Order: sequence, then C-alpha cells, then structure tokens
Amino acid sequence: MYVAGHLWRAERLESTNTRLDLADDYEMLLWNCVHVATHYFNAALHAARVTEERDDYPASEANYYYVRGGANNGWKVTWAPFGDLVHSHIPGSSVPALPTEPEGDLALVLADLRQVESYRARFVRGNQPYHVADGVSCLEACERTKNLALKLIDNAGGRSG
Amino acid sequence: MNIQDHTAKAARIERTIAKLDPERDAECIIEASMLAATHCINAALHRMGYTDPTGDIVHSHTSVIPRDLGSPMNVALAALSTIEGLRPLYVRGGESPTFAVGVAAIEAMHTVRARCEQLLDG
Repeated sequence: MYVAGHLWRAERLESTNTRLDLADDYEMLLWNCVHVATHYFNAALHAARVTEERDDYPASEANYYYVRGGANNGWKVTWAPFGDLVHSHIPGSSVPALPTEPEGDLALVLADLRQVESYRARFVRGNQPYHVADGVSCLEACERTKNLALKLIDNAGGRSG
Repeated sequence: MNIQDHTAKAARIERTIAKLDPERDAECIIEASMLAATHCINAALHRMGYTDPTGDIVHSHTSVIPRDLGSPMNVALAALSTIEGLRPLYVRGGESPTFAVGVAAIEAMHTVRARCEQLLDG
C-alpha cells in the first residue's frame, strides 16, 4: 500500500473513534487504535524505505498479498517480498514480524504500536477488567505513534513528495 | 473465556455497531462484526465440547477444531470467513468501502449469531 493510502485509512478509523465512548465502546475503540497505529507505522516504514510501498494489500499469511488482476472480483492472492506489516509480532511464533528490527525514531514508533496492541488480547479478545484509564493510555500511545510517524514521513518528503 | 463472557462481549460489541454508519464507519463495522462473530462461535464451540475456555479460536481458519462440525457451525464459520475476507481490502488495504460492504459484514455477523444461538439453546 502507498503512504497516502495508509494515512487515508488511518484518518477514517480515527474519525470513527470520535463517535465511540471510552466506557461503552471501549472494545472497538482499542481495536481501531491498533489499525490506526499500524497504518501510521507502515507509512513511516515506507517513507524511511525500510519496507516497500506498493499497490497491494496484506493477506493474513505473512508475505502474501492481494494484488489486482485476479478473476475473483479483480483480486488474487500471491506471494511477494515484505510490504505492509500486519502485526508487530506473531503470537506463538519465533518468526519475526518484520524483516529487520527498526532503529532510532522508528523503534520508538514501534514501541508505542506494541503498547497499543497489548490492549487487544486483554480487553477485546479477553475479558480482563477494563478501566477508562486503560482506554486513555491506549489513545495516548496511538497519538504518539501518529505524531512521530507523521514527523518521519514529512522529513522524508512522504506527504508532499 | 467462558460461554457467558463470550456472549456478553458479543452483545456489547453489537451495541457499538448499532451506533455506526455502514459506509462512514465500515472499517470498524467489519472488525466489530468479526469480533462479535468470533465470540459467538467460541461460546458455541465451548458448549459443543470442541474447545474449552482456555482454547478460544481467533480466526475461522484454525486447525484446533475439526473441519466438519455439522450444519449450524459450518454455516457460522463460513459467515465468519466472509467477514474476514473483507478485511484485506477494506481495513488493511486501500479500497473505499460502500454502504453495501458494511451491511454485508453486519448481515454475516447476524447469521453467525443466529446459528450459534441455535447451538447454545439446543
């Protein structure tokens, strides 16, 4: 996917989050934050030339992507070199989710993404007691992911170039 | 998670879906439908004895349950797979979702819930 596409999708999800309540809708608010943060991180990875910016979308399986041109509604799934990240780590697997562990500011973005992801198993798939402060922490980590990712993208000329 | 908690979680997520617009909030509706459906299926799988509360499934393509679980569960898993199939293009990818996409996710989730309720009530 291209940087602009990641930013567009993240903004749509952020818009939805403004209509959700931190207490009543926390499951989807936390879940949306995972997608928002992942889109910003992917855009930053592309801008930094760590991963490839392409016109395809990741399937569930690592290194498989939806590409245009298939008979099934115009899409087909095919193997490709690493493009977009789906999860920052693969639960239960020793295989790294990223080809290389990022360094510097990208590592800081990744750390915040991993914090955002940590709420998913506890409060959405699972049923740990939730407090509004958890949602606030998640939103703050998501916002940090966004702000630093956008700074990295702008520095690389990714939004203007 | 136990059956009651799965059912309660699915109901909470469905209440969130009811606040959203199928086109404007399609990404969230797809994800919420997937999550609510998965909670319903986990509750039913626990009731059927194929999994226990320590062994929840996360996606329809899983090796922890047999391939053929009879009509209601097979239909429920196929409907969950339909929802999952929307994610690459409309959540992780860059395709613009229509109203129909959001509605399709909700309808598939309703199918899952109805089939799982059959299994839970039976």
